[in-house]
Amino acid sequence: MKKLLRATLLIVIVGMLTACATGEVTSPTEEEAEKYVIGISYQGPNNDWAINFKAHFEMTLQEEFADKVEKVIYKEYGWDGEQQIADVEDLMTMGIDILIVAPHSDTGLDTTIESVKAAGIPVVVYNAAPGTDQYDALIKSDNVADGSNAAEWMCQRLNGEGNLLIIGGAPGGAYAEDMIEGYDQTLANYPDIEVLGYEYAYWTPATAKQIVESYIAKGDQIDGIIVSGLMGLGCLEAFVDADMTIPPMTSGDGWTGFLRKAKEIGYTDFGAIPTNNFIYAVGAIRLAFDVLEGNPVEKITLVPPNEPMEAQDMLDMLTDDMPASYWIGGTVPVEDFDKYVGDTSN
Amino acid sequence: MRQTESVKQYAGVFIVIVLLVISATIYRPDYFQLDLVYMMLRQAACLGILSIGQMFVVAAGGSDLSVVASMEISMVIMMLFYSRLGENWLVAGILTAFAVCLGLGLINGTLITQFKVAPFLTTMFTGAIFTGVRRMLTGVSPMGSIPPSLAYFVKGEKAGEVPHAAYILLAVTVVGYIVLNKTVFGRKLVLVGSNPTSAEFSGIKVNKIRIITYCISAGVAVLAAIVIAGYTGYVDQETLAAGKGFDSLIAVVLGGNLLGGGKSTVIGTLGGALATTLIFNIVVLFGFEIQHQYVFKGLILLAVILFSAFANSQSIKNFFYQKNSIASDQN
Repeated sequence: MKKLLRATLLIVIVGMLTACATGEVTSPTEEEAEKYVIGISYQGPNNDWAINFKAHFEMTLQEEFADKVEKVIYKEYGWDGEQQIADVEDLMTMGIDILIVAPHSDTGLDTTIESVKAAGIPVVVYNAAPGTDQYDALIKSDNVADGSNAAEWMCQRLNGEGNLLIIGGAPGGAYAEDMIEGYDQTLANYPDIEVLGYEYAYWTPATAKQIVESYIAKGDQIDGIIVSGLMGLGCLEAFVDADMTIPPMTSGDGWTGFLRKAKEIGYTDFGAIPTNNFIYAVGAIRLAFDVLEGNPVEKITLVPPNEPMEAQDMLDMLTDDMPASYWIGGTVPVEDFDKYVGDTSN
Repeated sequence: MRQTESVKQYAGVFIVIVLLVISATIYRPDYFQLDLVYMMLRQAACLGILSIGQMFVVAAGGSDLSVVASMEISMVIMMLFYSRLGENWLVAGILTAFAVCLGLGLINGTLITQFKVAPFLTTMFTGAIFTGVRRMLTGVSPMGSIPPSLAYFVKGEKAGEVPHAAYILLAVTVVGYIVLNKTVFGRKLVLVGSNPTSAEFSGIKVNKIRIITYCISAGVAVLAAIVIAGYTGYVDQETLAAGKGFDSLIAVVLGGNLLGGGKSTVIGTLGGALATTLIFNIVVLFGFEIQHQYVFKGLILLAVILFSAFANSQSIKNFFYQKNSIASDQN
């Protein structure tokens, strides 16, 4: 009995390991046009923002380039820069025709990107610029301008004075640090605004909530919070639990999780600037195929920030059928979101 | 029945807690209000619960890094029941989550005892497998806002009251303490951890005890998942429990438990979770920048571990006696 149990467990484990042996692969089918193997290195579907990236990748690949794709190999690095290096090196051995990559840090992936280019594989970078210029195309939002815009909204909202708490994503992460650079550029013009602290919540609501609670406990007057993405929800929850008035926040970038909570409690004092990130998700795929087919491309494409809108207008865009992960500002239709991501019913 | 725990084991962590409280009070005399205590208890509850479950595994000489995967799976199961069937089915979802996670614990325990593989690596790999299976089943999509009843269960009615999470943590602590110190199972567990050969010769089913500890750890992870989901108000299956596996091990060690098994303490483990939470808030109070926070946290944690090691060397006198006897031998 014990031997049978051991054998069964071994078979199950080996089978599951084999099934998980490669990165995720999708294989659209078409005939006979030249087809390419696309390698994508991204953080992985570990939060709603990243899931929307995947949704936009899949939508673009399937709707615009299905006849040109032999297969797509995704590699997920989480928040681990070393894992990303290993992933990209792995992709190089898997016969990819092009690499689409969002570097985790400013320079950590430079050598690896250069190796990919040296191997004759073109590279399209998105989301953040690497330190090297050995890539074929870069598309990103101007994260510094995005941060600057958000800070400007806050400073105007506070009439140029008050105490701010700034919560970023992952320390050292290119995107988060660019945003903070943008915040600082704007804040330099408002000497009467004091920054209580720069904290990092790793894009998670729970950590953001814990940070805000700590500042509430500290007793400093928090007049505003510069925060984005999922972390805004944690900030909301902290003030709700403390039964305190929620200060203005810059967290209206379109995530339905935050918007639903804001709507539930009647909170409208947030900067509503829909994210432009997913535009460059689509752009990265299009650029990749332009590169593959020898079409001229701009070396660097910066997607400008979206214009601010009224918070209530953004809340009015929220519909009950929007999936839990959905982000207003993206281009994937609500009715197709699950198709590209999986069931996100709530 | 003789106590398994001793004050010496967990004195270190509580001395550090007291010192931190004193430091904070000197810095800001009005810092420790009742609301702050409630808030910290709410913050510490998930880690405390998870760590107590982890402590049972450590007591038997193992470790369980798959607790994060267990938390994530249980959140997914609960939310699937809620979203597909309605709030009335939430309890059924929680019970299903318990059953599934007990099964995961059984898998871990069986693998480790039958194949004699290192627990640290085994549970790391099974955690990855469980995570993969979860992703396959759910398409990795976050699960959305929690039902109001769950929020009430964890947070309570309103600010200014003892959060329910604190009661949940207290209940887990009391049950854990009784099991470890007042039951035959607890005595067997400590013997298994401190001397498995002796335990075997004594007629104790060592493998069975170890398997049970992994089931306890995985089952407790469900409760920890409920608490963290209630705390956040939103279930993001990928990030909600991130880092909690290692954090729970840290809390266990901080509390004076011995990695490798044997002497264990539920009170110390609770202290470890409270210390970790207190340190998180203290660095904000003192206004440390992020890079200094890491140094400060590391120094405090190191101090606690060193103190516990010192206290665990039977007594101060014996500690010095051992040093002197070594010196005599060398002469």
